[in-house]
Amino acid sequence: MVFFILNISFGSVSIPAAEILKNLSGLPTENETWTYIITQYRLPKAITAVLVGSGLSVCGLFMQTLFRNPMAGPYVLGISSGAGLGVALLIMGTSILGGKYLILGNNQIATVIAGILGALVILITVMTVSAYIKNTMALLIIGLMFGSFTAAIISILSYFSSAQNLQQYMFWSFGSLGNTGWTTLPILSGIYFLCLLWAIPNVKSLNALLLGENYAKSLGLSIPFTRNQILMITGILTGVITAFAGPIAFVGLAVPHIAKMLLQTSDHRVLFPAVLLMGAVIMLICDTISQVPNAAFVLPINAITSMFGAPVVIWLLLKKRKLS
Amino acid sequence: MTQKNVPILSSKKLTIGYKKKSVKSFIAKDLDLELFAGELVCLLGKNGIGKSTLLRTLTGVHPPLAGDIRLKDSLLQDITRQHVAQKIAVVLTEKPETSNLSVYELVALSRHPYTNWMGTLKKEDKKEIDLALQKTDLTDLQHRKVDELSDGQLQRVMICRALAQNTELIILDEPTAHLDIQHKIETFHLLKKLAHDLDKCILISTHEIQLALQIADVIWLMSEQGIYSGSPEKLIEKDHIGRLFDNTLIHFDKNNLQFHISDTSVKNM
Repeated sequence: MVFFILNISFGSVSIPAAEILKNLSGLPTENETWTYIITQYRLPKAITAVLVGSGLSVCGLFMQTLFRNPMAGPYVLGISSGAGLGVALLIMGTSILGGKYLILGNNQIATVIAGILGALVILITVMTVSAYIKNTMALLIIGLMFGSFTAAIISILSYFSSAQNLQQYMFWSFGSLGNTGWTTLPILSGIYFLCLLWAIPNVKSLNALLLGENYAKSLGLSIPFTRNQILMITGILTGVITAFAGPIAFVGLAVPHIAKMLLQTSDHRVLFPAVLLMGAVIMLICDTISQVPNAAFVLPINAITSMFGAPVVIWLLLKKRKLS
Repeated sequence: MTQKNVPILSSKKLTIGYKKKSVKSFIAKDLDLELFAGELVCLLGKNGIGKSTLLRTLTGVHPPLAGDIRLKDSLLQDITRQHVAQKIAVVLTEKPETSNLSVYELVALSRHPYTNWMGTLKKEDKKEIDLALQKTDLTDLQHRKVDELSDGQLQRVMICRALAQNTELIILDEPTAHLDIQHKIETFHLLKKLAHDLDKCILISTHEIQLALQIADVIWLMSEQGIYSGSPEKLIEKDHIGRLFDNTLIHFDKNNLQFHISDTSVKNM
């Protein structure tokens, strides 16, 4: 909550925290412009940060258990790239067909669907490949290859598309939490809450999966059923988040590890709420940093999450040499 | 040993093997097997004879090619997986890669088939876990992290986990592999004690023939001709043990329960 207020408080126009509390509780503030900034821009952005951070972190946690792989996460395995490809195909595809495309506005629903479809395609591909290749490193490389492959297709597409549409895509790919307004936030939060509700009954199954698939089977768990459910949840959640906020790096990978280290447990009944909370907090912090208090510009959110996430991954590799 | 007459698990004309497209490759045909409460049963056989496939078929993970498997009166294939999990617990050869679980948490996962959708441990679940920890002498280690344990301790934890699942039948696939001789004997003793004290049926596959012959209540001898079952004394007396391996290479000495390299093969070296 503190981070939430702090996040709203910082930006190119600095607003005192007391005024924000006043505004949020429905009291009039000293300055009309502040009210407008808070309700129309900063509040939806802060809510988006909470949804994006916690959502991606939960996806990371689920995928790490499902793949039995500490390096699994929505971004590293190329799921975000998949969503990016879906969006790129949509934006630049319309451009090639001679149309103009704007991410914001009514087209956002199409963007979301394209993002989810792209994410699911890559997710299923990675899942199929991982059934044959059990090696951690191989899976990572495959994820990287999907990333390069996506980048290649996108550069081909961008060659043929108009400058305006290309710019649209570039802005999207930097990642931004500010693309959501009051009209689109209900879509994001609606899908987010549905996915979380869907995830709750799977928490127990994820605990059983800690022992490995064969032991989980001996405990009466249906592996294909559980696997498909978790894939669907992570695919849809990553897809929808990426479509709205762009590919956000490392949050999904790093937050579950931080939670596991701090709480010293693998029990998903503890980790699930912990990861939700920590993901939200870390995303709010990253977003606050990206706004550079009192400066007139905003850094891309992806730059901040990478700066925080990449060292976490290196630290993990150093701490636990054995990652298989 | 009560209720000797009703087997916990039985098979009639069971044929096991693999089916690839329409080609069936048989591993063993027409097996009539029975498992009773209070018995430690050791499955012996050389590498590749199909011990693991048999165990996987009996637990219902691998489909049989023909024949029936019954748990008490009901057919195994008619029972839901969750219900089977309340009847059969397993210990597998694979090691669980659990970085952050404590011994207690790992053992508590055995209660999965009994707990509600959230996996909340009730008083009864905790009682079963405590009893299993106590029976396997792990009460002092219960708060240790699993990855800090030695191989011997880890194997005991996995046996404890199967025990806490509170099933009539526990099946273990080579539980003594990777262990030194002392831990091998300790494991065999523990399993025998659990079978007798708690009136459970424990079926294990093993390569420790000498140990199995000394400690098992029943031996299942798996060879190309099928499975001979019986008490160790009976199988030794009828010269079945010698059939496990190629006779030209190995000779089984009945009197001191030892395998020797046969004289002919030494001469040919």
